[in-house]
Amino acid sequence: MAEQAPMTEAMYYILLALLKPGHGYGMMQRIRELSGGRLEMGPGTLYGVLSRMNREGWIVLTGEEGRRKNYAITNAGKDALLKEYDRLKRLVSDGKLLEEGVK
Amino acid sequence: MKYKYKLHPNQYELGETEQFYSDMEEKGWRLVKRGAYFSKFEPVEPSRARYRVEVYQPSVWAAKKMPEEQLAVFEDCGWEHVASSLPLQIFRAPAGSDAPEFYVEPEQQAETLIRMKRNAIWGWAPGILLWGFYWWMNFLLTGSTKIAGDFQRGFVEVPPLFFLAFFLLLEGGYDYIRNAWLITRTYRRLKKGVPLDHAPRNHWLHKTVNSVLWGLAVLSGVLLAVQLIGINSYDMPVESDGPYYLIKDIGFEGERTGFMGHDSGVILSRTLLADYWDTEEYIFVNENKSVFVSQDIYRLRNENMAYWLAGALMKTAAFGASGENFAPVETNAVDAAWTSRGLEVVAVKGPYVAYVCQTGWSGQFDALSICDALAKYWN
Repeated sequence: MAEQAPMTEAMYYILLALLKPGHGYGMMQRIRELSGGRLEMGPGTLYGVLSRMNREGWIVLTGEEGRRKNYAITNAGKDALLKEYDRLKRLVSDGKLLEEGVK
Repeated sequence: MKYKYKLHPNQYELGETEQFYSDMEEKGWRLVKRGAYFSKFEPVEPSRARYRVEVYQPSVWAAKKMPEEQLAVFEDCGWEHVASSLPLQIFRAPAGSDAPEFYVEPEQQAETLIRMKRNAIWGWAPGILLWGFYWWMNFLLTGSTKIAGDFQRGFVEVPPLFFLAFFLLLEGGYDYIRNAWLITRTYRRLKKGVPLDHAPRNHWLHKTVNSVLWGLAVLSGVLLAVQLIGINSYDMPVESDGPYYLIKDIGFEGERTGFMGHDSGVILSRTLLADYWDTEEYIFVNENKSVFVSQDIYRLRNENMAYWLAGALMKTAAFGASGENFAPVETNAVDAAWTSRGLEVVAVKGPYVAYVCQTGWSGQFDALSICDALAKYWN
């Protein structure tokens, strides 16, 4: 099976935010919290990534509140997120060399 | 309320569009509606505002309106949806508001331009193909010689129409190349991670080229209108009042009449390249004999064009071009003359060029007498 392509930062954080189902604007606020204010998600990026992940089956529409739509992460989405998390951990682990000092 | 309408940057000038609306608001004009070429503004207290465009280019079958959910996401973030003119969606936020930029990853914005880029590059293809098909059919039905002749004649008879078509084509071609280049460049930059430039510098060169080309097209249009308004159409006088002959000059007397709804008459056009008389004369001699003469007479402003035009007249002749070729006529009355089947004559003398088609129940006519009749009026 082909290895999953690395996620963009936006995809990673949106999936993280959707561990708790919510709508677009709520996700943006949550992403800001999760990233400690570092990441300000734009509405264009958010909507683009949501559409793409919906097509790929990583998230699913759970309901609507007026014009707003609520999404939740799917099992496939959780798997993808975990794989990305593992990949990032490996990257960090490999980079420990930097803290130990290159010998 | 007093509204203002202003020509806006085109849809491929994304950053320029944003800057344009911000500048207008700073001058006290807030965007209300965006049309195909003009934007409508309402007067407001001058203020600073950020304008951003989102490209929403739906497929042919998809809804032509930005999804409500997408709009809600933008508006929740503090962006007011001000106007929509596919494929552009215009949003506004007051300066200093914490409304975030649309894209943290320019590559994502590049994705929204894919369909727009494809349309900019290939959108003209159906039109060009249809146009090509039209000319191909024309070529098959009439032949390249006839088409070339029609163009040459048309150029002398209505030069402003050619200039107008030329400048419009040039402007269209220039716009097409520039727009395709603009959108491709923006797409590539975004794809490389370079954010959209929200305050680009002024394209003075483009504005100059565009203004000059449009100016020339408008000027050609005015010249065309002047020529068309100046066309003088009148009943054929008893005596020739121009460089055309009358049937009586070659020995036929009879009652002047009309034929198939056409009266005997003269149409005189003054063009940039020539004075042009288009005449038709019909006479009824007796029950067995009617005579018809159609003449296209040109008095060229540049004598050097005479033989070039004579060639075009032979290519487009009603009978000669589609059957036998023209043969030279031995005459001293004019500089040169050619005839086809005794039905048609093309003659040149100095700045004068003529195409004459003469028919009648009496049979063929003598090309020499036609040349003599023309020469009488060409001195």
